[in-house]
Amino acid sequence: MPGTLVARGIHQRFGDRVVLDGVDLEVPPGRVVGLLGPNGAGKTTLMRILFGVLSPDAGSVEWDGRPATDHDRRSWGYMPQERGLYRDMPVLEQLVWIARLHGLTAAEGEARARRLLEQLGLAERAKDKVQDLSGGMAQRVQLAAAMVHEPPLLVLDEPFAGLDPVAVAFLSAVIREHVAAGRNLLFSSHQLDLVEDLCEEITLIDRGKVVLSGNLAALRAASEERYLRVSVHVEDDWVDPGLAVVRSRNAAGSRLRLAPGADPGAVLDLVRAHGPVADFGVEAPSLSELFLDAAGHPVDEPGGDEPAPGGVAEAAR
Amino acid sequence: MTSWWAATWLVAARELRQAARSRGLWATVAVLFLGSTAAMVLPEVFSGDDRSSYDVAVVLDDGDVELAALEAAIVQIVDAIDADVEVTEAPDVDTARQQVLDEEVDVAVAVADPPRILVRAGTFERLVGALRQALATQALVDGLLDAGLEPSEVEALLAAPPAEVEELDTEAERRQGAAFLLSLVAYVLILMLMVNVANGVAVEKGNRISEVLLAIVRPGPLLYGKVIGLAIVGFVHLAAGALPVVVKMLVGGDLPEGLGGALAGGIVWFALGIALYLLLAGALGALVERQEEASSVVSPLSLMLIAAYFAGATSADSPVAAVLAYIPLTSPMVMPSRIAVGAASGVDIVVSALLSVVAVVVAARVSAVVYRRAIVRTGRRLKLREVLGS
Repeated sequence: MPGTLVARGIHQRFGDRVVLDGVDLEVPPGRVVGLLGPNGAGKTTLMRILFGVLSPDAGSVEWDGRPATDHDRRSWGYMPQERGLYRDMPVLEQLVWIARLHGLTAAEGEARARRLLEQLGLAERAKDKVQDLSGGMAQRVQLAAAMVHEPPLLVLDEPFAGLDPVAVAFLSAVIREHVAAGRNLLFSSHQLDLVEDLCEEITLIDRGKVVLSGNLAALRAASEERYLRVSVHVEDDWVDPGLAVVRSRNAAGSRLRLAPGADPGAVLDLVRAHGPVADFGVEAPSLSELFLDAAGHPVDEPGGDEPAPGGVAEAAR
Repeated sequence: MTSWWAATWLVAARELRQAARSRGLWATVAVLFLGSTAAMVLPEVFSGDDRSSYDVAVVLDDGDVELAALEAAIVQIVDAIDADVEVTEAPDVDTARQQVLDEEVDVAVAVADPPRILVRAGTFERLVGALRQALATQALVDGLLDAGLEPSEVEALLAAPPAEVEELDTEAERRQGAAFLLSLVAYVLILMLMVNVANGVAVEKGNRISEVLLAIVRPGPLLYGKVIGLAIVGFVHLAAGALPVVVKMLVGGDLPEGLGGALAGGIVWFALGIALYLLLAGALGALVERQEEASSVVSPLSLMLIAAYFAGATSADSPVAAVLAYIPLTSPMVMPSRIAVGAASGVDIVVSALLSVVAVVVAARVSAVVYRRAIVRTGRRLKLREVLGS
């Protein structure tokens, strides 16, 4: 497919552990693609394979309708999950150096780096060392390092981890701007609720297998599941389990999963019998509910024998 | 995409730029330069005993002896040790003693019966020897004249020139000293840079910088660039130390013969040694990801280096050193010393150098494999065996 990144049948094992078990992924141009799943699902390993940092045991990576070459890969931009910058190197110098590794001249690299720093609000800090920046600023420099050569494909591994809401909004805007220019973008996240509004295409991955993939709006519309959202805290025994089950509660209220054929109005009446409801809605499943349905467990509760989140991120060979 | 070489050079250039920012680096460069300059200049300033010109005071207590005759005898004898002498007369022994103590003159001679030579303890042994010979000759002349020989006959007897002293092999010791200093500098530099390379690799792995870079360049340029960059730092140090020696050589200062050869050998093996050790250190550094672990992971290499250094420094001409001079990991420390003491033949030198070059090529390949495999395996310290076996 022209201008599309496609991974097919990726298998990867480390020792006895199967990390990826026949994963397919497609990143078309002009779309925000989310690679989503719990920690330890294999997202980072898949991204490393896309970039040739790891060679998979089986499977292929294609770009623009043919096997991806080293040359293709060097043209892409990658922001790894764990931030990687030389802490004792000045910001601008570091960006220019990375641009030159991508094959730009020093002058081109400097022009682009300055433009990018301006755009990311870091122009003032160009001469500062990375270690003198705040965490949020260092994160933006990291993003700049991935984008300084104006890559056709940008791959961001857990870009939202640890960001405050302002930074999340900022990064989301950068991501939308990138794809609006007809370029490709893939990012990973385990915080499904956070990226719900950003993703256009999703690939949900769990324990090394794709459990659901496609256009998010289409997947939601196609789902038989319907949820009743109410602005009150609903106890389990308020509603007959044959009609609806409380699936989540938070400060904003509760979400009840409606049984097939159940009348939302009848369920709402049962809730209202316990108190006034200021706001409610019947909704298609959220991203985390889609994951739950597809994987059989919530995204923040690893099912089965997963390694603990944040544990050994080992990658052999 | 950049070419392999361009990427390697970019990585090396970054190391150089970072090193140039470090004050510690400039401090060691300065210490080497100043130390070497001092070693070159100080012997010229305080050239000690083996000067080419001496001052001698003479006290004439004995009325029979004429200053001119004694002076002539002294000049002739001292000439035999390739030196000039300035003879002055002192009024009495006490004055002469004070002149010696004040270093106004080097030695004082009191012509009495028996004659005395005044000299500060432990100095001017050769001059003292020459003066004793001059006094003895003078006494002999006086005796012969007293016995009735004609002055012309005595002169004829003494016309035979005095035995000249030919000093053999004084240069070897100085050359060995120079080689010793050179291998000390090489040893310290390799040790320092080895830890630097391992440390840099470990930090890049720990900070996940390697992950960003591996998405852009192959592992080879990352490893080789770092090694090349830090090797250049090593050569800058060496150059700082060698510059004063070369300058002294060019202006024709007093340096041991054959020092140039010993230096050239030292530099060749320094290059081979630094390439070999830094490549291996880079591979070992990829096994760990914390700064504290970096120096411990290279400790087998450090021990090897220390052992080789001591073998070269203490017994360069022993049979053990002869064997070590062929083994690539030890030859960089041992071979230069053997060249300096003249224990290495041309064949030895060529074969040892070739073995080292082969070892560097093999180390470059093996290290790249270890680095490539280990740099992406994070989370715990790896063992070399499991990396090579996987």
